[in-house]
Amino acid sequence: MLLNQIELSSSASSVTFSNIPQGYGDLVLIVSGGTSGASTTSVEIQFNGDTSTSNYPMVCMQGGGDVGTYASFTVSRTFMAVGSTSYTGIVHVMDYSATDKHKTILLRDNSPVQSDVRATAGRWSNTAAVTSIQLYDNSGETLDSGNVFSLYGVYA
Amino acid sequence: MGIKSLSNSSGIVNFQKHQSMLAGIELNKFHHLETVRLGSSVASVEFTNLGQYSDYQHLQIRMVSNASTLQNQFLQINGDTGTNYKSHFLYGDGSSVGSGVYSDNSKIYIGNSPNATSQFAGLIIDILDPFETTKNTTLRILYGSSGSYSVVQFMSGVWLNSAAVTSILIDQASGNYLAGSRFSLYGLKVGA
Repeated sequence: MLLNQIELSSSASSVTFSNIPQGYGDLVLIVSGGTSGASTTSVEIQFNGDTSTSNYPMVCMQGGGDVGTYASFTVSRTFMAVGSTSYTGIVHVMDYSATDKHKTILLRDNSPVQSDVRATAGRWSNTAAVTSIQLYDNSGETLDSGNVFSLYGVYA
Repeated sequence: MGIKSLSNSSGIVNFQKHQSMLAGIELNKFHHLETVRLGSSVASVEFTNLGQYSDYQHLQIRMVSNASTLQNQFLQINGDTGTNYKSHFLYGDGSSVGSGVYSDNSKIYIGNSPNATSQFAGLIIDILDPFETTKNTTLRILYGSSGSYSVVQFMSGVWLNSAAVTSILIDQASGNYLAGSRFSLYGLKVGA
């Protein structure tokens, strides 16, 4: 079920889904757009306003199609690259309303400009239910006008 | 991100137009069917009597799991314990990217259950055309775990049998799934 959709009519520093209804099993967030920043910027996500760097460990696997490179790495930071300049991503937040577990995140994203194809497994190291999701550019650039962010609830 | 235009110059004579980037997968045709949420430890979870869902084109399992010890997880169909499966995987473990084939063909490998408190692996398993009897049943899997066990994987599996799927068993090499693990089954309809 579509819970909310935000389409930017002008550039914005961040986008926030707040007061996320509970009672679904998973959340699925679909992002499509770009940023005004340099190619090294990335759009990231935080839950419930948690800015703790160590609370977002993730493991990534990516391939650069035009140069045939691939890599895997782990980082722990204020979460989550979903591409830059031009990107699409699908973010699955598993059992987001459960309070007995950390939140597992599965992410698939593509950045055609950077020719990256990527899969990420992440974890929000917190047992609180997810009630808000904020997306922003990690270098302070703006999210472009026309960016679309769609949040779905999946029953379980 | 809907398709804006199509011409028939390339031989396209019929098509559907979708407004969503999930083209063809409209979420109002994606239905929750069953969920098993563990309140205590169990060795396996099985979805049975799946023939009642044969009006769906595809099935999806969304699950989170952990275990008392790090364990391989598996999936079997219709109780078939013969060597009638194939499993392939592409993984990133934080230091390298690799791929391979799972050696045991008596089940489909679907990643591992981590064994740290509060840490659960996530899986999304698409079971394509499970009720078609003209083809073997194929699976595609997105798996991820971040923490004590950190791996992200794409996997594929096939059941080398063209029978309609009537049951799906999910288990581990040994040990139990712990409380808090969740297994949800969905059906996806296609067409008008």
